[in-house]
Amino acid sequence: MQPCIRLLGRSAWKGPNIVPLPIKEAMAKGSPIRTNARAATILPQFVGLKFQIHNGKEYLQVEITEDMVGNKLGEFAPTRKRFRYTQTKNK
Amino acid sequence: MVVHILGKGFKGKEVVRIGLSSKFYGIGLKTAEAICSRLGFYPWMRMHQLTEPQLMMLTKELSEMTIEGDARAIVKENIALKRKIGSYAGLRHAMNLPVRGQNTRNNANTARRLNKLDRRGYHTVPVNTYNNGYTKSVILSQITNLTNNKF
Amino acid sequence: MLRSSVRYFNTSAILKAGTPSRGKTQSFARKGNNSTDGYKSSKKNISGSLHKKWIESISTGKFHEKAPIVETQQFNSQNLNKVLNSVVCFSNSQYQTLYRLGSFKQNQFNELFQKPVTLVRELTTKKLLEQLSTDKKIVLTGERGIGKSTLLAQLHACIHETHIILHFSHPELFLNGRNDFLPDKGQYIQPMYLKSLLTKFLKSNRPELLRSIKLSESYKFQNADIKDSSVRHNKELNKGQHTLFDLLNIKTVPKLRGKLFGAVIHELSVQKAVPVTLTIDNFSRLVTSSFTAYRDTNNKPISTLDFQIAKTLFDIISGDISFGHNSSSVILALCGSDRSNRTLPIGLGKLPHDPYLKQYHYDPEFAAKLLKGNVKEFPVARLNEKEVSVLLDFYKQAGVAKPTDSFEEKYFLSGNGNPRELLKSAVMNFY
Repeated sequence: MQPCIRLLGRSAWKGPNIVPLPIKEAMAKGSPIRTNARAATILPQFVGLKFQIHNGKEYLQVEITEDMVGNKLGEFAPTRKRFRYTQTKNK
Repeated sequence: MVVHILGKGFKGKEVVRIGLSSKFYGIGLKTAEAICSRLGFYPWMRMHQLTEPQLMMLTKELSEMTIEGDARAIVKENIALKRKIGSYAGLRHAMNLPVRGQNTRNNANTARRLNKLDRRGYHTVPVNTYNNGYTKSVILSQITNLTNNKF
Repeated sequence: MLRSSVRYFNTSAILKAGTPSRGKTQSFARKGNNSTDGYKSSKKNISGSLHKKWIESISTGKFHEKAPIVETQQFNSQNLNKVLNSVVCFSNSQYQTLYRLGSFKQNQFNELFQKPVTLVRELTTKKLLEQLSTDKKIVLTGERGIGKSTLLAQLHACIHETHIILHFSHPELFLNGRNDFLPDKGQYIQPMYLKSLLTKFLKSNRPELLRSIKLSESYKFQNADIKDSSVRHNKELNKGQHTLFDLLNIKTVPKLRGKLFGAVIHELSVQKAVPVTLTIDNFSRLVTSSFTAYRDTNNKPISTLDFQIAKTLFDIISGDISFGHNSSSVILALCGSDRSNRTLPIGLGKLPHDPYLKQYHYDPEFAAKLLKGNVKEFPVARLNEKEVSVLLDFYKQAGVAKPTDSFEEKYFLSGNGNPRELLKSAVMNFY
């Protein structure tokens, strides 16, 4: 990941967008964290945890790896479905 | 009179800095100027005025830089990484569509033409030029220090 | 008759370009396409070709050959009163010197006349020569087209027989980064520029004057063999035996040209027999920017004063280098179209020193040098009504103004006493 791009997106004095998430419990239990905070920055502490990220309709399960650090949670849960033509509506 | 530098031919009357920036991927006008002044060439020096030792110095300088294949590889690596971690930007690259939220109802032809997983890399500046010495580990440690205080 | 010759002048290049001959493509390269060797010469960049910029092509287009011949007096420096308030041309020797010095500029409309002409004016020419007897360092100021460079040319014509003239017609030549440079003992030298500069000094000054100056020191210069550049020859010049002429004639390797230039300036400053006049046209180029287009190895712009030539010029202006003879002088002329900043007014003592100004607006180093040299301003005056009528009479004879035109006052007002505007409006009104 390019660190500078992450830095360019947001004022330096703000630091990363840190959202209070139940990380300690998840670490202890190993259960996924269900969250709507798509704008939360992925921190190094998150690595190895499972997140269920809201995409507007349902919660998608993502496992955080080291490369994802610095990105936002929302980047890993696409919100749009590809349009597919169907003959009838009820299908 | 043709002058050859790292396998590329330059017209003799070409200005050195302009020639370098136009023929090498990863060297823009600013970088080319910096190279020229470092080697003591005057700003409007032409290719045919370069002496043999000067050509050697120039070749040495260029071979130490991240240009051409190396610079393109960096761009490709970055895109491949985005795809590998499954981020939205990587998805858009794979779909040949604009990455940064532009509309796709009309136009978006540049993205359709260029955005690929193995992008040829015309339009991106090589990473190391605007990194300003920040490496990934430096920034990670900064973030860790910051967040350790909060949690 | 007058009219027809003028017409011919007008059609020669401009109208022909508009009416290409049938069956041939119109191109500027085939300008001489009604001559038999038109195709042969089409590849050559012949003089008068329109490949160049407009102003360059008209100055090399030999338009002056088609201008009608007008009898004028010759510029006479001994008896200035005789030619005062009349349009004069230069004698052959004057013309040759001025041409070699680069005193004629491309934007002076010299192509309109057979030979470059000039108006000897009481307010400028005579006054400047009078002021030169008291003030030795003068800067000519005034708006563009007012006649600063012309005045400088007249001065050259006046003094070229008795003075050694060091003229810098375009200071940007050693500032704009188009010539090579080498570091040499804490300063930068410009071998390519120095070579042409020294040749110019040699060609534009009278050999008798240069020969009359005996060297005060012995010098030794190396030069490469013509056939094999690795073989070096030494050329020695002996104190008291050789002259400045020999010194200027020396060819040497690029590295040593800075030393050669230094030696020339040193010899000129040591001798007291011949007056030396330094003239710089477009001086505003030199004084308004603190940095050159050159960059050092850290890619930082190099300051103007780090260059040997610029440093020498400012040393002469400030008086750190002085010429022995007491009629030696320094004349600077500004360029009217250049940027102006506070350096010059402060250097002339018209404004106080302001430490809060940025370097772009004010360079204290330059100003200090100007102040130290006690440089005086000489504003070039506008034309008065009498001079306008003299000029218009001449323009009518030369076929560039309407022969029937008699509204001197109109021209006087329209150009506001500016010679270039006057000439422009006269020509515009004619065609």
